[in-house]
Amino acid sequence: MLVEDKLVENEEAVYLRVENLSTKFFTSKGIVKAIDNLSFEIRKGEIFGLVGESGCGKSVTALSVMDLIQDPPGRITHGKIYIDNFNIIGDLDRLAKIDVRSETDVRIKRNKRMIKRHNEILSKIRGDKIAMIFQEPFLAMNPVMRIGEQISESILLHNRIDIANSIIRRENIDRGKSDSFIEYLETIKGTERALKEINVWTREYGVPDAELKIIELSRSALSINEKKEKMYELLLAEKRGVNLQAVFEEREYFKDREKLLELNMEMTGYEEKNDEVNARRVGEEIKELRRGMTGRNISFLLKQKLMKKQYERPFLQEARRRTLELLKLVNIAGAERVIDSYPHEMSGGMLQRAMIAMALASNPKMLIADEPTTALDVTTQAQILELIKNLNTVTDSAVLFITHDLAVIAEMCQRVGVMYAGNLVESAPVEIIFSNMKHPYTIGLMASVPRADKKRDKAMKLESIPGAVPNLISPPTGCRFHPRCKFKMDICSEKKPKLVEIEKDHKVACFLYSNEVEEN
Amino acid sequence: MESDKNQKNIVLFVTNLKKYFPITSGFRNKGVVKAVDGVTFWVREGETLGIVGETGCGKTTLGRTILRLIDPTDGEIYYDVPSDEMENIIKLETELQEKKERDGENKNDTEVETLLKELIPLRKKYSLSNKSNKEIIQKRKIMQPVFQDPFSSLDPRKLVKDIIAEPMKLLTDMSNEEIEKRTADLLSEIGLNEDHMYRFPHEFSGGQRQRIGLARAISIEPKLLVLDEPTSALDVSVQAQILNILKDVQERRGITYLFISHHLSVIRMMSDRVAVMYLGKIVELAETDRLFTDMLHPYTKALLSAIPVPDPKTKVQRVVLEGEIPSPSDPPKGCHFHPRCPVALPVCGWSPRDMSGPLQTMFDQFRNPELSILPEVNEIVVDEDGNSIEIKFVSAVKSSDEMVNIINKVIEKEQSLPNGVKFRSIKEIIPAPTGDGFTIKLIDPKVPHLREIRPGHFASCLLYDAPEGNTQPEFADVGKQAAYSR
Amino acid sequence: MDANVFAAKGGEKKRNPGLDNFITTMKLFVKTRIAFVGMIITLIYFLIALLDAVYPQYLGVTNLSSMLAFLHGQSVSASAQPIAPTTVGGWYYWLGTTEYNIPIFPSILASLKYDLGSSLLIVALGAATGVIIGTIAGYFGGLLDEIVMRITDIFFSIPFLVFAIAMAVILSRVLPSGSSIDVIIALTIIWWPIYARLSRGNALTIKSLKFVEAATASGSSRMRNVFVHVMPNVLSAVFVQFSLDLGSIVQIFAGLDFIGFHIGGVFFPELGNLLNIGQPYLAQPYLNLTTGQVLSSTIWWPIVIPGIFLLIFTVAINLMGDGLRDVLDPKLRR
Repeated sequence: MLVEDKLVENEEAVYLRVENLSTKFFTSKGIVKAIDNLSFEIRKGEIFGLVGESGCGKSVTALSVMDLIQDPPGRITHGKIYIDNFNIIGDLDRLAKIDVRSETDVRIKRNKRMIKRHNEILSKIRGDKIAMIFQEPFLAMNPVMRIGEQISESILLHNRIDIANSIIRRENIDRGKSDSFIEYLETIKGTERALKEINVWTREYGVPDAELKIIELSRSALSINEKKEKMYELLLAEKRGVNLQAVFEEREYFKDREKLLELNMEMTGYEEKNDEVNARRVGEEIKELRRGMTGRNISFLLKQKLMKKQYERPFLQEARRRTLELLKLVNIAGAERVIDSYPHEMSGGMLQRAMIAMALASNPKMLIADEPTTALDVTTQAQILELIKNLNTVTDSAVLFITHDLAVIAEMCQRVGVMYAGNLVESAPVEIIFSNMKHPYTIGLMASVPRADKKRDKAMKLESIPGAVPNLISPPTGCRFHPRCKFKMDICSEKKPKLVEIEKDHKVACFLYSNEVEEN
Repeated sequence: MESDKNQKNIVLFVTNLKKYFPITSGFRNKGVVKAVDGVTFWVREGETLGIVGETGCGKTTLGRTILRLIDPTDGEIYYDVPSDEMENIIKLETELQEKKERDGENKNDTEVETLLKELIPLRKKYSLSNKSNKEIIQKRKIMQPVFQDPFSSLDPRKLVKDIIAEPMKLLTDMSNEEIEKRTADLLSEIGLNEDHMYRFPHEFSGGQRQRIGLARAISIEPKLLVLDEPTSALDVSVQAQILNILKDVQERRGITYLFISHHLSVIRMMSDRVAVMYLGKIVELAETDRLFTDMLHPYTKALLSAIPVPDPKTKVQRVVLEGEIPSPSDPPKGCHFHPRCPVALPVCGWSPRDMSGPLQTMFDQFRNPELSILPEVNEIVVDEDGNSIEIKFVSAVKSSDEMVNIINKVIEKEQSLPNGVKFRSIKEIIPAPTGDGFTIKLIDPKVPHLREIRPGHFASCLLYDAPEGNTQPEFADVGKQAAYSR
Repeated sequence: MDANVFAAKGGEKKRNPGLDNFITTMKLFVKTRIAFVGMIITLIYFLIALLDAVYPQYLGVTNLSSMLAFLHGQSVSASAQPIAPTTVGGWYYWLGTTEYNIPIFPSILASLKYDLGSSLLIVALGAATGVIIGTIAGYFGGLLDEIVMRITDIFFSIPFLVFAIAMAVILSRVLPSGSSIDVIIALTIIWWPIYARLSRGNALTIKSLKFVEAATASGSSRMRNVFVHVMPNVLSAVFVQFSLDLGSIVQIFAGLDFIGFHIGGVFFPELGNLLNIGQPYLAQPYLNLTTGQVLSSTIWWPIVIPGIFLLIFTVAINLMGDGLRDVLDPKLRR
């Protein structure tokens, strides 16, 4: 099938692929067709902008991609969303059956067990592969939890095994490892490179606080043996005397959980392809694993509850350390103070950075930013935009940048998609969207933006698109933009134009450029 | 001021306007928020003055104070004054302000008193600031607000026709039929239908509600409209519609606009002149294009360079400011902008609390190892009122002179580093008599005032203060460049 | 969002938007079936009370009082026991009789007008006082607000029923006896603080909304703002509280009468009173007076049946109140 072929071809390049996505909200006033047959893709490491006015469905798109749509009243009713080549929405028919009898009378039958499994898989994917930051940082943060706690919580949700490994390595540092590292450092010329190496090594062995001392040590005039002595002393001082047994147990527990999750994901994949044989096999494996886990789990979980100090403490400490690092990464001044502050004690700009830190906690390969700077001042916005750009360069993670501000789009994004009333009407690389836009809505939108860089013309009026955004319960027939379009033709009210590629990487959905009609 | 003679009359003159909000915790008074801290400007008939600034700059409070929705703490609002008297008032008030601002030996209190003698009766007669609510009610006919939030600016329980008719009912003596006819006319002027009169606000979209709010404001034919972010809550395409209508209305009726917004692109499009506010003060005021291309104040430059432009080919020379906007309850000393200013001078207002952090960093042994021969720093005590900082060591030093020498050298080194300007504000170092520390005294900060630097172009910055301030060459040149280049 | 506002609808000049609003609300309400049932039952109760107040003769209350007079005149033996619910003797006796053979069914029906009427009066007075005081306090703030808040605090800190009884006792000494006025006034006094608090909170929110400032800019005085702009918007929250309170108040009113704050004597038809006089019979077994045979171990109907009627009313009005609240809240929820 065409879809499968495309997957294989661009498997390397594409991180998020949305195919024929439809999301609807079933309300007492009717069915809101918030997103209608939406398709687009985002490549690894690129910044893709989604622009449109209120009601166009860009936020709903973001929530759909994270599968955070509130049910009731909303549901993804159709389509596929591939994140890193895994379809996260799975088989929609298996999850729930929707029976539409009329606009206001809809019955939904949900399969609770499948939905539960589905959510378990999703909670792993969210944060791990894809994270989201919101417009109002005050609303996205828990007001009664300190910032540090919230970020640590996020870290601990996704990186337990990694943290366990760090702790174990730190407690297990032996002379051999520290000696060989000091010898290695001697061979490195140049402080900067040495710093980098030390940075990596200390993180791996869970002793980042020793960084400064190690630099000083390696630059000092002591003999190599003296250096080795001192290094070992240093590392011993970093040991926390943690109950390693407890940490091992926790690591095993979480490894089991990871395995379980992977198996679940595998099974979902097979079920989708209707591969009965493999699905059953994996199901058996899951049962085996579960049986093995039960014995281990009970004693472990009990101990964890009763002996919090030994079991949870080292994790919390390590998470706190990583939180501090994250806060520094997003340029928050006074990170030590901020980590113990409450959201209401911080300014909008700082809180937005804290939210970005929280989103980065698990190293996602893609970040969704839903109007992250709309509520901020211009100067703060400049800082945050620069931060996002830097992070994109350094971590090579893709960004889905959602905004209504065309100027921000011009500055941030490499490719752009324009949405109107739940449809993608045009998508192209950013220079083309601004210089060679095709869709009448895009043209109208551009012309209605006041410019800060153009000389003032007192008599000049902005072009305005007449009318208002349509009601999505009963949207216009055919092309949803036709009632407001200057170039409207007869066919526009009857049929819906398909999103077609009219030149390289430039797609438009308009009968002015193509006759192709969208099938339902 | 000479060049203004041939222009239209000045219709609103605000001088030294202040609005302070007390911060109370229970019954105790914990200080004040200086939301508006000495604002002076005038507006001519039929022009649009844009007021722009970020959070905490006080622009919204300024608008509400001018409309007398809140009472000013100090200052005068002259409105609806016959033109010859207005000229006289402006002359007197400006002189008074200049005489007050002169610090040092040039201060002459008797001159101030004579001026006040003349001004006080004029203030009583014309200034809106000291009048009670009752006296003001009649004045309300000539100035009206248009608010930002289309959802809360109309009473959800009233019909549109009643909402629009309210000012007419309360401020004029029009008959009911006249009012109804007027309402219908207004509705069609703003692009709605007559039968929309009998609907409730929630049945309309945001853009339509703003139009209704506008109709209400112009219903009594005011001379001045204060628009507080009228399009900030609207979509881009709706914003375009509203801005167009605003222009139409102004053209047709010759209304003067005070346009408050944080959207620089909207301000550029709508205003004849622009005032930039920061932490309660106007830092720059000029004709629009002048401001955008030949700005004088460092904050204006940073602000304008921070605006993203809807053109991917444009490369913006961005001045990214460090830090956050300070809280208006505790603004920095001297020039409010100095902690974030890339071209600050030593005299711009470095105070002990600005210095305590950098001093601590100065003693970091990795940064300045020369200081490691001195004992460890025990504590740093900040004395805001005395404008000094005390640094205490854990033990006494061997030689005070040596200590002072070393510290001076290090300070010199710090001064030469980027961001080293603050160290130039150190006046002298006095060793402690007990030998276990020293006190740093800072130079007294100066406060900048809004002055006419070029004809019609005002800025409040010590860079332009002759003779002490030196216009740093890099900035003066860069100021003339456009902020954008292709 | 409602109709497409761009389409000019001709001939729609004098629409009554308030009525439209009401109809939409009612339609939504009907959809929540339980609340609707609650509302129907409540309405039936009120209807009976209304009819009885206007046309007492249909219930035969006049007959009842004359019958009571007759019974009272007769030498009634103290051992006369209540008659069980029976079909014999007409509809009067369907639910049996209570002390002195007073038939229960008509008594209950007759009592409705007193109970519901007094409750309505209490809640209405309390709400009116509370809303006015609370809105003014909330809008003007400052010292007035502080004072009102402290007063309401005081009222809230006293256990409710104790306060009511104390008030009623004091008032019965002061006012002419034999009327239920003392109970009514007592309950009104303790009822208004809730409304004051509720409206004050709402007033605080509303006063910061821009349309109030716009009214000031249009020349409105502060008092006018309070009554024309703030209060109407406060009322929607108050409305829900009002309907819920009706249920509570009836119970409390009955409860007070049950404890002994009678009005009009032992035979006065009032639910609490009926409960009171029916209570002693619970311990008595029901005998066949001729044979002495025990027909039932307890005479339950004199107290249980009025109790059930009271219960049904309270439940019904609470369901209706709940439904109203859900409906008046976010209108677009499912």
